Amino acid sequence: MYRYDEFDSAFVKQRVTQFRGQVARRLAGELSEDEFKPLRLMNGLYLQLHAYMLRVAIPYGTLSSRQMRKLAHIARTYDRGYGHFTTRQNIQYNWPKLEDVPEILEELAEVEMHAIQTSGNCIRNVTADHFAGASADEIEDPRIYAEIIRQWSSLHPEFSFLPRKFKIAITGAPNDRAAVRLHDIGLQLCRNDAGAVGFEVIVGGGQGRTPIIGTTIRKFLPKAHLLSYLEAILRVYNQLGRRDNLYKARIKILLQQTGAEAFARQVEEEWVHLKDGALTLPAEEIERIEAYFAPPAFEGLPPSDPAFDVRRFEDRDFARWVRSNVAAHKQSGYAIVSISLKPEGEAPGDASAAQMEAVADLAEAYSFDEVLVSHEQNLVLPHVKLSDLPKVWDKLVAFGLATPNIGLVSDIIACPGLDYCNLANARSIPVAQRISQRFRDLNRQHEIGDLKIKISGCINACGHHHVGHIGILGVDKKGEEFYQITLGGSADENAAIGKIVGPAFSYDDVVDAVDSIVDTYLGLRQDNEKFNDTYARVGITPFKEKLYAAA
Amino acid sequence: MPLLKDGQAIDDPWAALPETAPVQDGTTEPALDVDLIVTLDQWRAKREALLQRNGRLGLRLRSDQSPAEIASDLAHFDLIALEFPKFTDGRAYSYARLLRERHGFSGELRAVGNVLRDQLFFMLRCGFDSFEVASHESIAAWHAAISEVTVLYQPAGSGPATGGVLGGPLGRARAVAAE
Amino acid sequence: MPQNAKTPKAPALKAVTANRLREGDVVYLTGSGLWSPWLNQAAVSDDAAVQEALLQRAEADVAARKIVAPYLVELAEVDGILRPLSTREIIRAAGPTVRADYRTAPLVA
Repeated sequence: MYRYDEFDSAFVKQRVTQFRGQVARRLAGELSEDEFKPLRLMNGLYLQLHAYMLRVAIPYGTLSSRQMRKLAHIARTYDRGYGHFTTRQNIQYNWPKLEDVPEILEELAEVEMHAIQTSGNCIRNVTADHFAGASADEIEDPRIYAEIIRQWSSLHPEFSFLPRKFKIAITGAPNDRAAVRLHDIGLQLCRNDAGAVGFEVIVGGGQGRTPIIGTTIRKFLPKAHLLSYLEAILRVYNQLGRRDNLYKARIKILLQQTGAEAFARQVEEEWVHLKDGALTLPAEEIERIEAYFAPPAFEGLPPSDPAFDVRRFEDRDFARWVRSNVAAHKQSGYAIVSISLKPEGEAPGDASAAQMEAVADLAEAYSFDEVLVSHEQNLVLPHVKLSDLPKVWDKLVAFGLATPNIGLVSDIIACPGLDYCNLANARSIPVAQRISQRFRDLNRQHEIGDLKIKISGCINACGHHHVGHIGILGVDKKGEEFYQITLGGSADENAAIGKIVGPAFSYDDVVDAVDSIVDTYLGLRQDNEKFNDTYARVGITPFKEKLYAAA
Repeated sequence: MPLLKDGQAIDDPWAALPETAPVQDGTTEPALDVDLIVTLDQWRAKREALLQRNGRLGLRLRSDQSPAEIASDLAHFDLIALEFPKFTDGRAYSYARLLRERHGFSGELRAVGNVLRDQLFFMLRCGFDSFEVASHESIAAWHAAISEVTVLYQPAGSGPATGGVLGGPLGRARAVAAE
Repeated sequence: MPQNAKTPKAPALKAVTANRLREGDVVYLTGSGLWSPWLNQAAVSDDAAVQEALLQRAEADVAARKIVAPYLVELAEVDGILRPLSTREIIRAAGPTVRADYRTAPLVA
């Protein structure tokens, strides 16, 4: 994985010193809250419902054991013993003190981490496929380019005050696990007819109150031009994006209002001037970064392992966990392990300091010192030997980290919601907790199969409800929490925005509603049809009839 | 409003042309030899008269007025002032870079409006070289603001050496040495 | 709102809430001008002028860098216990509802 050189270290340390000064000026009264707010936001520090909240970037979701241990240490020392992994591969601490934050940032800098650009109207932490470097379907490791973009976008002088926040996601695989069609810019590594590797550039996707699937404005962009093309897009957006209306300020609205073709033309016109200039990526620099992401020293192993097979045969719980939480690796004899942060009745994405340390230990012992964070709020050990899977599982079980529910009905994405967030209209986490309790029978979950439920506590859609197979949006009706349900959304390569099924449900009724939808699906599905396939075949009506019949 | 230029607080040698003022023909204010900053509307309305003057000309652009609109006239101006109506309106950063890097503007590029200490670093890097600042800020604080971060990842304008992927080994060495 | 629309609306009971500047903790302004984490210690009034005065006092503490972001929060008496009217403010007063040990304060009168 990427290691800071002295240049990166100097950058982050200077930034910590700068923020230390800003906090001191705030506490000394030289800065008012109005003046301080944008500065703290640029360092990921919010004032939330209960307290300050610090959002730490996990670039492209990759952590070393040392970094994970530091995150645990911060949770224990400066917070209440836990952290929350977000849908943008970041971690949030919900209770830091303002006066401690410079110290926290200093500690993070020691392990090459920071909170820069995790907030504000700038280019945010670049996200990537959480199976990067491990999955069999990958053309190249997307993190090479995510790192290059991280560097280019760090304190970019021109793009730190955009009309609105700006999110870039990148995937190296045709099976999209990074939701690239739902970002301001999505980059999909691809090959052209000549066999060269480059990027398909997708612009103007997003969720929020106006969910839109992104549009491809360039089918193939050679690697060398990645940054100049991004700069062209950002420059057009910075000048023309709307600044009069917060809700119309994202690039997706500009793209809609300009028209995709006209927008693409503007970008190309700007790019003519930038192409082949100072932003051209030298091949040797790409190679230099690539070297950091070189595959670890895999052993040559057979595709099966007797000990693993025996355990799987003898231990049904282990076998069930393997079925849902272990995915195929590109390297023979290895597997990708997903660690569920969605145990029954718990807050999705929360991990205690002890759990983080357990995962760090496992990564160090069994996964080449690497952990990945998924946008689905789970953790991943990307390179585990089949023969080590039983040991890994045993330890995960001991730390409450072995819930066998990846991709299943209780593997719910949920934003912090009204329990933590200033913007929320309704709670999200307790709804997720109650759904996971309702479906506590793991055999039933496995029988239901892949089903993605995503919950947002307000229209900003941090919980990705628009693209859940079942999406749940919390709304405030006369001071009461209600939940509007959508069906048929998807965040993958077949990205789709869900459709509203009907009137919203109360906090008490929403779990029954989800249960009813799942029942309807089970009654109607043919063979091994996935939820969205059944939904596409039968339409919304059967779901609606069952849902509102009793009422 | 104090003006910050080359690290010094200076008296502004420029005057703004009042909205209502007739462009002078030698008989009314402002005097013919005063260096004058005009708005885009004034320039468009009074272009010929303005060109008759002896003093230098400056142009003030709102954040919704792109310099591209007036690219062919840039040669007439020794100063361009770009407005930040709010510090969060970042359009002028792009305008500044376009003026410097595309249109070859080499005169004074002034940041006006809501110009705060903590944005100075970005402004400098985009090509601004003078800053109309609120009076309570001390010059020392402004110096601190531009020396806090010396490590730069991306080339912009004719700024200092860049490190990271775009600096290459040479650029990185230079950027670190510059600390 | 709609339910109350029929009957003449009683003046709303309000208290001032804010966050401590250094720590970020949720606090309520007390009658003695101190800031308490407990809502039941808050100075409460249904008189708009008094509420405004409380807010003024809070603004002075903003200037004194004790607290940030003060505002008036509406309260209601339920079974003799004074609690915030909105779900948001109930959660703000008592802590997240997601796990018992995350609760910051009991809701007591």
